[in-house]
Amino acid sequence: MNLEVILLILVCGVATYTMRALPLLLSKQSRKPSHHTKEKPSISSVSSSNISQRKFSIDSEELLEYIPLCVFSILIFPPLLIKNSSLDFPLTNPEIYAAIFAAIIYKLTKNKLLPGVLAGATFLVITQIWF
Amino acid sequence: MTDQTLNMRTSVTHGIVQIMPIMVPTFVLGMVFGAISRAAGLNVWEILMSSLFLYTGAGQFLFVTLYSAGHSFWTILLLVAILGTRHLALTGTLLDIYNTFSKCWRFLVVYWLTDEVFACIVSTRARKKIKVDKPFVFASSLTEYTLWSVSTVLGALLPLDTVPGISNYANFLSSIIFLCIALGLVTNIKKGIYFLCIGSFSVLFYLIIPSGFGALATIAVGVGVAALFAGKRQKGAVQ
Repeated sequence: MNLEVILLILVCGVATYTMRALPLLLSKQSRKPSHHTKEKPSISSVSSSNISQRKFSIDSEELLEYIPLCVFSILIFPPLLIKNSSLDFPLTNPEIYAAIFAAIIYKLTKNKLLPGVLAGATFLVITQIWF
Repeated sequence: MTDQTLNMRTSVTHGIVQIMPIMVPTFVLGMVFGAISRAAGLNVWEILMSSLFLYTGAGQFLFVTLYSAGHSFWTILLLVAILGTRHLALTGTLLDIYNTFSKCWRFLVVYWLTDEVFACIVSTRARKKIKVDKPFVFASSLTEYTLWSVSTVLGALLPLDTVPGISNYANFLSSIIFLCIALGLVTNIKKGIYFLCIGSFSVLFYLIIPSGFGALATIAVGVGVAALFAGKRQKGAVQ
């Protein structure tokens, strides 16, 4: 085995794991109780902190509905539309039609994953054989 | 058998069943990765090590491409790390689930968090029929990890590089699986507009920003626009 390759794999693995674990570390730090707030809080400070907590939870809940779509858009659009570092024009790209067909079947089958994916894959194979 | 054991078994079964449709492209992509890595000069043990310790599909493809092109150690490390930045968003989105686990479990299962596992957890959580708990996340993550490692080794051993266009088909399968899952999350017009907008931005950024930074720029814009969208709805609710 090539030692340089092994070392590279391990270091890249550590870098990737750091990216995965960083939000956990940051969220844990934010959960630590503050040592400076030992005195009994006044009514006004309690109510204002409750309001800010509620506001934060609504915001984060809303954000959680949008962020996955952001991540999925990165995983879907560039691989479908960019070929060899340039935009593959939709009219000449059968993968676009196959993806649209898969989306339609997915919606028609009331969000069943397998029929949608199979329909898209079959459509792509047929169009590539046909053309 | 206690109720707790029964619940755990049910969650484990659900975890494996929910990841199954995503396992097909994982298997094909894994085989393709094995074949490409073999052609790039890595041996079976090195391929297995990259699957076990690096374990990030896109990062592994990038690693092999850069390595075979003769890039330096630091270039490869930097670019793989930049590509890995999208995991910040994946973990960040699932914090509410991970924070219910103990510290050890949290840092163990996050090691197995990939695009596919993320898709499985997010789609299951959105449907609200199945509880996404520790056994569920553990079972789906471990299934995906095992399958990926086995398929990369199989790809290295079989003469797959003779099949024309297999890599393109595998990538396309992944894209349409992610598309279908994303469509399940688009529950109103606002989310549909957001999805298409960020999709357009991602294509633009990938075209104008080189090597991995495109994903980072898209996530930055995506989070900003999402905060705007979320803020607007809250304002409306107060009124």
